[in-house]
This record gives sequence, structure tokens and C-alpha cells, in this order.
Amino acid sequence: MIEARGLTKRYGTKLAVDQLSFQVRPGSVTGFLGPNGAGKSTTMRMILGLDAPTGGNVTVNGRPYNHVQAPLREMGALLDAKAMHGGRTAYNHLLCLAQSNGIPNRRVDEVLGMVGLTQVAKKRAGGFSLGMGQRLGIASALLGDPGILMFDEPVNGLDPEGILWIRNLMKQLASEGRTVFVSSHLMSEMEVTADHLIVIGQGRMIADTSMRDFIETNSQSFTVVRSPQVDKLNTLLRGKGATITPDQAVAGAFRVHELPPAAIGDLAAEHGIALHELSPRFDSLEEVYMRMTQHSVEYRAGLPGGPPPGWGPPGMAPPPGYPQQGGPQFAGPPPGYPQQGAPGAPWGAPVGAPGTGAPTLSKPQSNGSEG
Amino acid sequence: MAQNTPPPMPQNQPHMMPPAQMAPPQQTLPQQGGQFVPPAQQAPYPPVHQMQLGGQVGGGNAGFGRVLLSEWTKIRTVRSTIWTLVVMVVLILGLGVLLAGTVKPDTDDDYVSVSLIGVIVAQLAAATLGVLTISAEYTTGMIRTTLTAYPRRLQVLVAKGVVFAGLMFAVGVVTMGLTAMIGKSMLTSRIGDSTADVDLLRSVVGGSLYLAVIGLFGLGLGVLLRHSAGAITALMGAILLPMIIGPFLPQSVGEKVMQYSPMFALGKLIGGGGDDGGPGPWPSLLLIATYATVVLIAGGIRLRSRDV
Repeated sequence: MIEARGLTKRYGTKLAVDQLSFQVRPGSVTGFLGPNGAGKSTTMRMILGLDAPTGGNVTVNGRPYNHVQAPLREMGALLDAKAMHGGRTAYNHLLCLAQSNGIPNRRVDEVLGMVGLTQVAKKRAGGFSLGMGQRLGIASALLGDPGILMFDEPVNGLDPEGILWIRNLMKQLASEGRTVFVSSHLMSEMEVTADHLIVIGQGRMIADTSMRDFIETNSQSFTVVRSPQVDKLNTLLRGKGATITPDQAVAGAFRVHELPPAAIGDLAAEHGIALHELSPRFDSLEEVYMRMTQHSVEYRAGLPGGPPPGWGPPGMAPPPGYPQQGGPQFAGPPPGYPQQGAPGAPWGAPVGAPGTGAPTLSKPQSNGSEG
Repeated sequence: MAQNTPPPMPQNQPHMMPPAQMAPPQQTLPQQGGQFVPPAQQAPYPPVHQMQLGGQVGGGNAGFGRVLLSEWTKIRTVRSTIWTLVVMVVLILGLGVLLAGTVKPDTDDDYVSVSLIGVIVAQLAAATLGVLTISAEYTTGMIRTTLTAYPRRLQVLVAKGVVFAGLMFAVGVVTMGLTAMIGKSMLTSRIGDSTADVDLLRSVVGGSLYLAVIGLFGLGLGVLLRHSAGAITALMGAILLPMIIGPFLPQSVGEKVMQYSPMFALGKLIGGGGDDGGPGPWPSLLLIATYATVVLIAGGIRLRSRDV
């Protein structure tokens, strides 16, 4: 268990982390979410005692990290996959870490096998690909068989295979009852990995809640409708009290708010209007997050609702396999991913059920404290 | 308008698809890792669900002995160490043999000190390695991994110092002892017996201690400045400058600058007492050790108090 109380870090006049209090509990993957520069890495460095907090404190299993006798046995961390001497072989890199914690040499071979680096154990780490370096970092985190694991942006820059591998590994670790704390600025990744969310923006806490609650509380639902008889349908829908906005993503489509999909379909059938599309949507975590953090993002983009510049590496394409970040029109899960209401879907709202499908108008609980 | 581009039903988001659709056919799924033949610098992902994450981690504990062992592993597993040691040995032994085979010293000269001239150059290698022992950790980011695994920072620094100084001393004693014996016998056979007093303890052991101490001075500069280039420059300045600028200073000041410099101490240690004034060999060594201690303490304070 990681516990932070009033954790604060100030660099000069800039407040990087502002009064963060949270607990990271065992048995689940806790996502640590925020745009670049939100203070995630600083918080993680403070957890590891690499940076000294300006105020507050943070403990690992009840003790400050640097008072832990053999830290690798309690907590494994991967902050930066490049944080190793490139001239040392993978085996020797792990060996020197193991030795400092009194971990036997054979454990080094074990963890190398776990991450699939046995064949390159005698190769210098400097020649490793990003994915292999990341796995070497994970191997070092697993060395002491710790109950707590912390990863900072573990999937950044990995190919889809690597992303899937790390995602499954984190779930596996959590299912064994370990505490897994993983930071990311990729909402879509968190959406499928984390059970619990700690969301920060500009160093301040925005939300500390389960993934399901976060989406259910903050998500807005609507229905995307396409029809050759748009004007007629729109008039009818407005008559039923629906709000209609054009869907900017596809010409001719529009979004219907405050009316369940079934009612829209019935209405169209009643008046003999053909429908080419009738799809219920929920905001993705990404959209919810964007909305919640808009006022707390340090440097706003010029475009309203557009992604802030700190969102992802500037000038770089998103990693392969990722959707364009910050696309506000992206709604709901894509094909192939369990649809809303399917067992195991994080947002768990049955499709077309008017009760849950209706827009959730309640404000995010933490929004008030933010302003 | 970037916000207009995503289609309503994104088709190309493999990360959210079930694993079966995850990878293109030619790519290997983690579950099929065994069939995948990796290219030279590639390694397949092992299947996660078969991973036995627990294992033999033993019941040992972290302590100073552990971090000492860890630092020993670190220093012996990088090429800069090996190369530096090779350069040192070649300089000391090679220069010693070369001089012993060519120069014609008087018979009242100390043959051992003549043979050990190479140490004056080799000390630069030793000191540079001292800097790199810590500054390379900052340059590569390894320091964060090191301090995550072992958060008691001063112990890490002390362990580095002990391991490094021990290595320098051991290599120094062996190389300088060998060089002294070879050089002395070569000169004796060429020129005849020397009448000078030979103090092997002072020359070989003192010289080796000097190598360890000047290396620790470099280690201190490395942890204080954290940048390889800056620390090495400062180090070269500290070793070479006094002897270069000394002669140009007013005599009383210049003399002191030279007499209290590392180079002077090394000269006294390998070259004998002489009567050119200044502190003797052992007090000189102690003085340089004091310099090293001061820099190490300053570096230790910085290491302890600053974020990494």
C-alpha cells in the first residue's frame, strides 16, 4: 500500500504537486492519470524518495521508502527504462541491483526468463530496442518479488504487442493481490487496464475513484443518428424535447441528446422515416477526462476542446495502435471491443436501457473543489 | 481541424481489439512466443499467463556489505574500467621498461623512481575513472535506479569509494611492484649497482595509495559536479595547473602552490625525499587525501540533500 498525505512539491515558484493525498491499495491496478506535466512523475519520484517533498509525506507499507530495509523486496519500480548504464549487459545490470538487496543470483535468471530476455542476457543493454529496455526495467522491478509495483508510462512508444503484454502483466500482478500503480497520459490505455483511477491536473487531485464510477458519473450519453430525411426527423425529435447537435465527424450525422435510442427509432418508424444509423454512445474516458481537466491544463491549445500541447510528445505521431489523442468526437468503444453493457465493460450501461442510457447530468463530484 | 478527423466508428484501433485481432498475421502473439525466431537483437514476449512471478528471492537483507558487492559488480562490468586499467598498466609498465632500457641515470639515482615515471601520466587515467564511476551514473540515469534499489545514499557513495580505492590500490601495487623490479634489474645490469637508498614501500605502496587517493578526489568531483566533462576538466586543472602556473607566480606564492599540489606529492612519493623543500612524501599524501576528503564530503552533502 502506498499512502500519500498532503504531498507537495515546489520548484521555485512553480507548484508541481499540490497537496496530494491518496492511497493505492492492493489487488487492483490503480491508474495515475494526467496530461504531461501534471506532476505524475514527480509524485512517483517522491514515493521512491528520489525527490524530497516540499510538504506532506508519502509512505510505502507504512514507512518512508528510504527507511525500508531492502526496498526491492517491498516495491519494484520502473520510472525510466533508459535509467541504466548502456554498457552493462542485461544480466549484470540486474545482478548489481539484486546484490544490493541481498537477492540471490539465480533470481536474476528467473526474472530474465519472465520478461523473455534470457537470450539477450549477455548483450549490452545499450543496444536494446525500446520494448526490450522496458522489459529489462520491468525485470528489475520484479527482482525482489515485491508486493507493490509502480510503473511510469510503461507503454509509451511500444508496439501493439508490447502494449498488450504489459497490460496483461499488470492485470496479472494485480490478480495476485499485489498493489499496482501505473501512470499514463493515454486515457484509452487506462480505460482497459485500470480498476481504480487517480486523476491529477496541474499537480492537484481531480478525482480518486473507481474506473466504473468515474465513467458513470462523468460520462454523457447521446445517440448518433443518420437519416436521409434529416430535417423532418429533427423537427419531430425537437418536438419530443431532444437536443440536437451536428456530429462533426461525419457529414449528415447528428447527435441526439436527452432521448433514448429506442424512442428515436420508434418515432422514426411511426412517421416512416428511414434511419441509416442509430447508435448509442458514451463518452470515452478520454472525453470525460478532457472535459474535467480543461480548466486545469497548464497550457491550453488554441482550439476549444482540442488537446493541449502537452498532450503527447509534441510533433510526434501517436504510438502505433493508438487512436488520435484528444479527438473529442471519438465516443464509445470501437468495434471489436466489448460494447457497452457487455459483461465486463467498464462503464457497464446496458445498451438502449432508458434509465442508464439517459444523460447523466450530475456534475463530477470533484469539479467544485477544483475551481 | 484535427477534431473533425476521427470517424464516428474508428476502425483502426488495434489496442482495443481482443487479442485475437491484435497483431497482424505475420506477427507473433505473446501466446505463441515459442514459435517465434527472434532476429539478432530482438526477444519475444513470453506469455504472461504462464509467468510465475514469485520465486527464489531468499531471505537476505540489504546492508553495507551488499551494496559493496553491488558496487564491485558495477565497476567490473563496464568497459571504461577495463580500458582505464589497461591504459594505466601499459603506461606504468611500458614507460618503465622503455626508460629502463634507454636512459642513462647516474649510479647515485634511485632506479625505482626512474622506472616509475609512468605513474605521473597514469594518475590522469585513475582520476578520470574516479570521476566516471559516479558521473556516468548521472549521465545515464542509472543513479535513479541505484538509489531506488538502495536509498541510503551516503552508503552508496562510501561503497563506491571503498571499491574504487581498493581496485586502484591493488592494481597499483601489482603494476608498480612489477615495474619497479623489472626496471631496477634492467638498469642494474646496464649501468651497475645504484648507491641510492631505495624505499620500495614509499615508492610502490605510497604511489599506489596516491593513485587511490587521486581517484577518490575525482570521485568527489564527479558526485559534486555530476557532469563527466565538467568534473574531468576540473580534475585536470587541479592536477596540472599548479605545476604550470606555479613558476609564473611570485616566488613565495608559486612555491607553495607547487609544493601543496598533487603532482608534487606524487613526485615525492615515487621520486624520494629530495631536498627541494616542502612537505615530505607521506605528509604530502596526507594533504592530497585531505583534499579528496573535503571534495567527497561536499559531494556527499549534495548527494544527500538534492533531488536526483
